[in-house]
Amino acid sequence: MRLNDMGLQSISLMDTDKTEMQGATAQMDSYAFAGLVDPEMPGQVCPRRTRIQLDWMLLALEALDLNATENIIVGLHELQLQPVIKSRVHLWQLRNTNPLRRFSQRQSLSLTEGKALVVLACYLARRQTSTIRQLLRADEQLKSKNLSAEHHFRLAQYLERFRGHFLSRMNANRTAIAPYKSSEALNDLALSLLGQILFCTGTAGMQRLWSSLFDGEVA
Amino acid sequence: MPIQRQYSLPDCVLTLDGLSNLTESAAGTRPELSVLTRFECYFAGEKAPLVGGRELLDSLIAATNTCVQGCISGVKSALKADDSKVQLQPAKEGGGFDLRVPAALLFQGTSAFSSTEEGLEKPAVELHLSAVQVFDLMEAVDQLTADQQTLPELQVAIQPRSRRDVMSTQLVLEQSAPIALGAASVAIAAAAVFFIPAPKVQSPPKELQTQPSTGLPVSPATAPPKTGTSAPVLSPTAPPDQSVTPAPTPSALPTTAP
Repeated sequence: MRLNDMGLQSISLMDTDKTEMQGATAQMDSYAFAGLVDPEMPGQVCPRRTRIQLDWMLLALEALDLNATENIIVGLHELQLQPVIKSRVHLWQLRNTNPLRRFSQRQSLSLTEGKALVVLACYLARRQTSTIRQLLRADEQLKSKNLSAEHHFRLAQYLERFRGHFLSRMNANRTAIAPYKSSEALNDLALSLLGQILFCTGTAGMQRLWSSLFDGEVA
Repeated sequence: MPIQRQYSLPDCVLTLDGLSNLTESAAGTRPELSVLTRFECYFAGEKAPLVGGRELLDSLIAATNTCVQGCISGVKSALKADDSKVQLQPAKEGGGFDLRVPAALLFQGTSAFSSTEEGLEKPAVELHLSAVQVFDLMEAVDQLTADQQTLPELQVAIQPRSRRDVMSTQLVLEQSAPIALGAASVAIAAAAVFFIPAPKVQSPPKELQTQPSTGLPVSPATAPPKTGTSAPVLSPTAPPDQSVTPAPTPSALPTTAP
């Protein structure tokens, strides 16, 4: 894995002629998604765990940044992802491929759409690298002193926002959501996602996130 | 030509000392470090760095890659840990990560970790790392492997683990649970049945055995077949040999017709 193959630096400008969607997508595959290798998946779609994890990571990133929704749209333009994610509604539809959402679309997420979400998540995560480090350090310090997260304002704010986003958007009737009914369990999930997001901010963060999404899913 | 390369992050610093194969390098170009002679890994907050050679570097990169992959995906590896290699795993309690470096991979006498304490040599160095320290280690490793002028043959295989590598432990756990439950149920049932006394078989009194020859009516099934000229009648009480394949006779045909 070499430096010129990874990172957002490798994303180059390209023609975004919307009338030639397939051609633009293919071109995007050769530039923006360079280094993201297609795993051997049946039907070339993202499995269930991938859809859930991608959506939850974006949920955590939204909880980190109040302007995350606007930053996502800005990111779509900066990263030239419009050929894959056409609009805000399309992004909402892609995120609703998470089967645990209240308004799950029961649709599949193609590998190209999954890659676009990975690029977007890493873009947002890199903007929040310092904040994530601060919050993780604060969590370690609080745990070492046997203090709750309420003693750190920013950490408590992040956890509260995440709990709110999670409870309002996930379907509480699903069995997979049952373990996250308590605030403690949701806090643990939020901190776990924070650690995962930090690992995605590195030089090869995009490749690491993409490959980990298919951990145990390939033959 | 001796070369030193340093990959410095806030909580982790990797230092590589080595030599270049090329005797002459173009002026102004960055020489290629192709032979590693010494490798140092320093974590912020620790007293001394881990010092070793190429084996330590390769093992540390592999352990970091495996650990980070498992952390992002949340899927645990089924592969057994090799005590002769560096192990980096999430701590079982209290968060953070546990790094275990075998003493055999460290240069003796050059690192504070490899020194003996009270005459007893440690088999391995164990450190507790925070998530931020592990991230910095990962980032330093990624920068090192992305650097084409430092050990160009060094590669990190970032790829999804196969179903076999992550499922084997889950399968064992999942499969052993019903087996254990079944075996336990059988054992409990057997233990319960063992204490139930076996019922005594009461043989009927001898008087009842002798009575049927004189007083009890004889059932038609056991009665001897009648011998006569009349046609046999199909009835459930007829003898088995006659009810299964009754002999068709001209007098019996009208009775079976609709």
